[in-house]
This record gives sequence, structure tokens and C-alpha cells, in this order.
Amino acid sequence: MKLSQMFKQDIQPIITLLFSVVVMPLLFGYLWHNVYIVNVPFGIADLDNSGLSRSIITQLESSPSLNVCYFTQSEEDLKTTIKNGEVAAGIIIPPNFSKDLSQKLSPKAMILANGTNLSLSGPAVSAASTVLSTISSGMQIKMLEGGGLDPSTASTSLGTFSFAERTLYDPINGYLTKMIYFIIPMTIMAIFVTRFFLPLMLDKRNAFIQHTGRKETLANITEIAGRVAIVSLVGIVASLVSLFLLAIVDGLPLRGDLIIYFVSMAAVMLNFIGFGMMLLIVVKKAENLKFVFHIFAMTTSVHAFLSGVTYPFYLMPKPLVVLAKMFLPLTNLATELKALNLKSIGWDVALPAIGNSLIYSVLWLIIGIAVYVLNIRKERRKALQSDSFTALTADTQL
Amino acid sequence: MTLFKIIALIWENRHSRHVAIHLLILLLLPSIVGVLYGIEYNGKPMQLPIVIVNHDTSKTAQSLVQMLADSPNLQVVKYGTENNEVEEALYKGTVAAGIIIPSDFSGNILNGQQTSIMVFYDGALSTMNSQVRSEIASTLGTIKSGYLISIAEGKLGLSPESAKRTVVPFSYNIVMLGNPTSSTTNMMMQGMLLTIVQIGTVGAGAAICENRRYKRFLGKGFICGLIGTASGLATIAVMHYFFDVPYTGSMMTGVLMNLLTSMGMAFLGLLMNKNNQGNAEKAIAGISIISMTQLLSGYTFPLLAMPKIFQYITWFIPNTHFINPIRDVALLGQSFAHEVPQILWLLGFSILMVLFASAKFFSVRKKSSVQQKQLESERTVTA
Repeated sequence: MKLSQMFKQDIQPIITLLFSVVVMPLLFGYLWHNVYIVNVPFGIADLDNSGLSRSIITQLESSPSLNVCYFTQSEEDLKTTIKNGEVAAGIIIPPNFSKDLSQKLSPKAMILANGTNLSLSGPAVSAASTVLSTISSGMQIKMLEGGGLDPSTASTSLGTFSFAERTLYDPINGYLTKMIYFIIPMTIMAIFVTRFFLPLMLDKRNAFIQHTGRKETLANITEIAGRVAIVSLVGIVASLVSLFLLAIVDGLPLRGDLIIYFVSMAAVMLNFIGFGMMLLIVVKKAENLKFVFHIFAMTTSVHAFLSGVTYPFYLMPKPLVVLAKMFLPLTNLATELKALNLKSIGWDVALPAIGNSLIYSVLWLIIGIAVYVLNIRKERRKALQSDSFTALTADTQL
Repeated sequence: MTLFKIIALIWENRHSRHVAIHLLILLLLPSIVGVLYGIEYNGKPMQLPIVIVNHDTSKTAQSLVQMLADSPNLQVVKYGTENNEVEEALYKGTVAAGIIIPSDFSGNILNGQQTSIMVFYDGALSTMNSQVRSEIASTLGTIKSGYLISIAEGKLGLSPESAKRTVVPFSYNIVMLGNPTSSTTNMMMQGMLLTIVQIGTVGAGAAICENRRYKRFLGKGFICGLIGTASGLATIAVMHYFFDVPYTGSMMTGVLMNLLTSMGMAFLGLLMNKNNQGNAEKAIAGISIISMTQLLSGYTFPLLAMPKIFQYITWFIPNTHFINPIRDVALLGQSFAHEVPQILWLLGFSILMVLFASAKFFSVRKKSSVQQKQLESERTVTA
């Protein structure tokens, strides 16, 4: 079969692949474009009504992360408003806050937040904490000065022990960079395995059963290899195009070596083939594909949650990591692909991951192909037996 | 008739066997996935791996290192000697953070000069980054407070209590309503699993469609919806009883919301089947799109940060009126009365889905009967 013929045969999965891998991530890029969560609705229960409490409120109001939009004099009202989702978080400044402070009674304020949606309440809590810490530091200096220390000693004493924080590789830590390096190969897997590889192998299974000649078998094997190579190449190129577009439109970091990326993606595609062969151990008829689609659609999030991208492997129970690495195709390379783009990892880090993924592919390819071939032979024998039985019956009748 | 005979009877018929398999997938798979997630987020305190490079051999620095090592949420996996060991460990992804204590740390403290510990985080660590930062900041913050109290005691000659009040003029505590431990499992798992149930229900609906009799069509939709409801409730129960995910609100609200969503989703599946000319495989292939609705509902990424257009679109998405409010019911203990608007939305959704699927059923049946009549008349003419 010619290359153009092969391409034509798979035009539908190729178009789906191109559309899903190139266009869908752009939609995600648009959806998650805002990396900073600002203007989070915030409530205040000022039960002190002092100069200090008003100063705290003014500083909270000036924080870009917060939108102070609710004021009350009751703790319960604030709680109810947070629970109802009208504000994400709030602060309770207790009665006599200022008075207790001046009497060195160390009063306690309270930041209340809706814990059900941490992605929204988290930034609000963090902004309110920063405001309170800043005010507290100012107070500390005043207290030390009041205790008899000169201003410079007081401020040096406070600053003596400090810690500076630096976030490497992705300081902004946006949602797009968290997810997209995984979403793209995940989308390729969904289309490649369900729309292309499984239907192709089930179709060829029938061809192998029907045509027993060596020439025909070889032609079928060549066709499978050719078509798989073409669609895999389209997948790799589509993923690159998608990443480049996101880099242009949304400033997605792409720091990795192109050759390492290409080799890693080739290993990923090989994993998908191995995964497909693993599924073919169970799926023997085209009519059973709908069960695979059903299960596949329901378990998409399993691939994400057990890939190490959303929750690191070192926090997962060990047996679960082993199981995930044994059965899920993206587990071996998902974190490596992300690290490649964010940390610009070299061959020293990439190679062990690629090696593990190759072990996965080879293992499932050997088992899958062996079962596939055995099944074909079994079916052929069955067909031969039924043919000879038919011939025998026909002879007897004659 | 015994149960075994009924099962045998269902199994003998190819169509009913396929229907049974789809319904079993819908009923069991979400709970199995729930168990996997429960094991993954096992609820134990996080043991975040860190590397410490301590250039200071003094007792002060040693005790600081010991305090970090004793922290229940941190696990020192490496004690390095060179700064680049921090970079290397972060680069290889073997640690979540690295801490460098400078050689003049205790000397500067003794001389009253400023000194700074450097903390480096792995920004590529994804969703865990903020948790890692908060754990380390909280540990170092506690150590810093202790140190400042000792300074105040020494320099100002204050009693420990007065020193504490001087160093901490006021404090604040953070209360996370509905999720006191800021648990990701409590925050996310239920919605994730209920989205899987929805995908499964649409898939089962798309697979078990009926072409001839309307009563059977409706019956299949309702059975699929009921099994979807049972699956959703079983998932909630599994997470609650085996993995301590709280469910503090009204039981009836949870059941009703599950029922209405599952009914709507089952008929959406039937509609998808009809739209694909009864090709179940093709219809099921398109159900993955339901998982997108979880992202668009603001369940994990806040709506506030999405472009304006998505903030409007989200109202039309069932998940916005299902997984978000049910999380409030489960974690915040919201009442039935509070969720009435969402329940009404879901009721409208399920009624609309029944109507749309029914309309499609009749239009397809009419088309096929017209085609059949045409075929018959052609046959008569040919005859």
C-alpha cells in the first residue's frame, strides 16, 4: 500500500487528532489565561470599631487580591455569607482588639474562609495574612521600642532571623502550566488508541484470519506499521504545533531540547501502542469497542491523577505507584515531559524515564502481540475445522 | 424465577448482555475509581521530601536543622554540603524544596546582624507547590517566633510570657469552613467521581437506546438514570465510610440532586444515540466532552479568573448546579432550602432532556417509517 493511500485511509482520525490536539489546548489557554486570581470577594466583621481596626480594613481594601464587598457587625452573619458563597473569605476583628493590644494582651483576629473551594479562598487567605503580618511587624517594632530598644536595634533584632523564598522553574505557577503538558499527550492517547489503533488492529485481525498466505500477512504487517507510524508522527507534530501556539499566544514556557522532546514523544507513542496491545488482550471483537470507549471516557481522570503530574509519586503509596506504572501508559513520562518544558532537563534526567517507558512498551507489546497472534491462530483453526466439517458433510450428502 | 435464572436469561441474549455490561460499568466503575483515589490521597500527613544544606556548624544551626527534621510534614531526604546539591535535587525532582543555611547564620544572630535562610521550591511541582510553601513557611515561622521571644527575653529582660506578648503583639488564626484541614481529598474527590458517574450515565444511555417502542425507550432512560443515581450515592458512601470524606448536610438533597442529574444525563445519552443514527459506538465516543464541564463549572479553577464569556456559559452547564452545590451540602452542611434554585435548575434540565430525547425518538421513528413505506411502494412498483 502506498503512503498516500495509508494517509487517506486514516484521514478521519488524523483530522480529529489535529483538531483536538491543536485547537482544544488553545481553548484551555484562553480559559486559564489569568494566572493571578484577583478581586476575590472578601467580608469584614469589625466588632472593634477602633482606629486600628479601620487601618486594617483600609489595608485590606488596598490589596489587589481582595474585593472587600461585605461589612457586618456580626460574626454569624459573616459565617453565613461565606457559606452561601457570596464572599470567599472574611476577617473577624474581635471587640476590644485595639484596647487589648495596647495593654499587651496579645488579642487574636480570625480569618474565616470557605474551605470547599481552596483555589478561590486560598489567594484571599494569603492576601489577608500578608496584610496582618505586615501590620504585626510594625507593631512588633513599636513594642520593642516601647520596651526600651532604640529604633535601629529593634528593627535589626526583628530582621535578624528571616528567610527568603524563591520558586524555581515556574514562579507564577499558573493553572495552564500545571496542566497543559499533560493534557496534550492525554488527548493524543484518547484519540490514537480509541479512534485509530484499536479499530485498525481489530480490522486487521479479521484480515489475518482470512488471508493465511505469507505475502498477504507481510503486506498486512507492513500496512499496520506504516499507518501506525504516520498517525504517531502526526500526533508528535501536532503536539509540538500546539505547544508552540500556546507559547506564542499565552507565553507558555518551552525550555526543553527539541530532540529530547521528539524522542520522549516517540516513546510516549510507543507506550500508547503497548497500551493498545494490552487492551486487545481483552477486546477481541469490534462490537466490544463500545465497552472500551465507555470505560475509557470514565477513567480519563485516573490517568491524570495517577500520572504524578497532579500529585507527586513520592506522596503516593508505593504499591499504587507500581500498579500505575505497570498499567497506565502516561505514568512513566508525564512528569518528565513537564520537567522538560519547565526545567529544561537534559538526557541525564530524561533517559531513565524514557528507559522505564520503553520497558512498559516492550513488555505490553510482547504480551499483547503473543496473545493477538495466538487468538488469530485459534480463530484460523476454528475456521479450518468448520470448513473441513462443512466439506465432510457435503461429501457425505453426495 | 431465581436470580441466577434471570441473570442467565439476560446473558443468553446478546443485546441484553451488552446492556447489562454497560449498566454494570456505570454502577461499579466510579466506586472502584473512588477507592483508587482514596488510597492515593490516603489522608496521612504529607511527608514532603526536602534537602538541607547547612554551612553553619554551630549549635543554633544544628538545632534549627533538627527542628525542621522533626516537623511531621517534612522529611529531610538529604543533608548536603554544597549549594548546587539543592539545585540538583530540585532539577531531578527528587525533593519538593531545598533549604540553605549560610555559614554566618549563628554568628550574625549573636552579633545582632541580619541573616537569611534561603528556601527554594520546585515550581514545576504543580498543584502541590502552594502546600509545600505553606508547610515550610509555617515551620520556619514557628522557629522564628521562638527565636524572637528569646531575643526579647535576653535584650529586654522580660519574662517568657511578656516576651511572647511583645514579640507577638497580636495573632490571627485561619478557619477553613467546611474543610478545616484544607484537604484536597475533601475538596475535589466527590466532584471528580460524580463527574465520572455522569460520563458513565451518558455512556450507558447512549449504549442502551431503543428504536421501536416509546414506553421501552422511556423505561430504559429511567432505569439508566436510577442506576446512575445508585452509582453516585454508592460513590459518596464509599468515600465517606472508607476514606472519611465528610457528608454533613441533608441526605435528601444529595439523593434528589443525584437523581435529577442522572435522569438528565441518561436521556442526554439516549439523545446522543439518536443523533448518531443509533450508532452506540459513535455516540459513546463523544461522551468524554462531559469531563470538560467539570473544568467549566468553576469546581477547580475559579470562575472569577475565567474570561467573562465562560462566566455566562457556566450557568448552562449541569455540573455548575450539581457538583458545586453538592460539595456545599457535603462539607458545609447546606440545607435543602438553600439548594432549591439548583434543584429547580436540575429538574428543568432533566425534563428538557426527556423532552428533547422523546422528540428525537419520534422524529427518527417517523423518518424510518416513511423510508420503510417508500421501500415497500418501490417493491410493489417493481413487482
